[in-house]
Amino acid sequence: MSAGASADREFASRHCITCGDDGEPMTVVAVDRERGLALCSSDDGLRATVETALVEPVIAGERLLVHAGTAIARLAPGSGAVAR
Amino acid sequence: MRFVDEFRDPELGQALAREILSLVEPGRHYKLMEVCGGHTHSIYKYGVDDLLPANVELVHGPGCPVCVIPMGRVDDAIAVAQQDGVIFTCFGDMMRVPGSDRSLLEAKASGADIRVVYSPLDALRIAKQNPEREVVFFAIGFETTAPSTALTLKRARAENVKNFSCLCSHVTIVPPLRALLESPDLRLDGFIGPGHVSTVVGARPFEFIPADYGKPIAIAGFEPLDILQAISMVLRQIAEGRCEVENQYKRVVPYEGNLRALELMAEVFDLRPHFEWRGLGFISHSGLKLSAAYAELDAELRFSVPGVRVADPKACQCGEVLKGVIKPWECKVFGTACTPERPIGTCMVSSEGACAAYYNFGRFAREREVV
Repeated sequence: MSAGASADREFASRHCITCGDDGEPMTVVAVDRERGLALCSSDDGLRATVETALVEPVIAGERLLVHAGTAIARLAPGSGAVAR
Repeated sequence: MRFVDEFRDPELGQALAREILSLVEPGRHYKLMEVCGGHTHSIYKYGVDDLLPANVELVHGPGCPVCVIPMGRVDDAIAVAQQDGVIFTCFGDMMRVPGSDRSLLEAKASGADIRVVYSPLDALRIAKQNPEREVVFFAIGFETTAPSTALTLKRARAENVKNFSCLCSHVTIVPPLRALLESPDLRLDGFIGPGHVSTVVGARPFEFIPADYGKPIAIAGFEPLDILQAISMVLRQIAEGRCEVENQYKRVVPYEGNLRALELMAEVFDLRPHFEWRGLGFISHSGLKLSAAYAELDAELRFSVPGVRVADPKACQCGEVLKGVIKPWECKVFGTACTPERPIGTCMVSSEGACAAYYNFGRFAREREVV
């Protein structure tokens, strides 16, 4: 996701990243193990590059809790409701 | 909606509300603080407080990092942003936070190159795309956000990105909670603990709350049923004479936190001796700065930063709101001189700020009838 697109998204969501202690459940689409990054998809289909160093190793299809572009936790299957 | 509906089920909500009612003693007033701005937002978005007995009062804590940024720190950010050749990057909500003279949004309108980013990684990408410019990331947030900044700084160093630096205003959650518990004008019966901060730090750092202050705490998720269940857990502890850290949000929060994130933070950050919080004043060891190993990426060392303390506007009562001493609508300027469109205080800026949450969800003034 480009910085511009993600900024638009943040304004559209009407809540901020840091204040909300916000986390977004995302699904891993593809993994770039060498760079410690993964392409992830949110439940509403938006895709973003995510840092995965804190939860590695990750595999495609896994569910992650993403905050400010970084995966901070691995989610058990079915535990979707973590954010607003 | 899959995975979400079960956490917003009205019947389960009513059942939890009945359980809560059964746990409270008539005639006793219960004051519980939800620490996190995300909880405040959910409580008013979903009307959680309408399901509570009138003698259970929710007090909104200082868990909104935008709301606690003092004006002087905004002035520092603007001073850096206005320097020649700088691209200044920050999260969206910081844009409208008033400094002593102007906000970052107004500085941008005056010509400063200030850009909103969704992650620190976006800021690093801008730096790599603009090697002739200095790109500064304004890092704010609690321990939820700090690992993201730390990873980006580590990546910037590994990739030898020389034109990237960080104005670090990260804060930590435990010192302000301790300060609130020491505050003589606030008597709390228990806490709803922050969900995603705890994903990183775990539940262990909150053990001082029952151990040193005799108050129960339940770490909670952000769906309405999560919050209701956490309230029920705290009230049950009170009813049964227990006092401990409970974890309602076990599906995400491990008791020990994310050890990799904690190690990373220890490597990249040092605690500041003290840091100023809006409305709460200076709190020891409550802010993070870059460690000596990362000093080359520290914007405070790379640029001239005024670092001048600025008193809050007299009309603004954000400090009392942040301490839970008054409700947002009790502030003199709430909804009149201070609105989300033209905020005076930070609590009205962020949608997770208590004032904005009240304003946006129509809570201009209300008292529940005592049952």
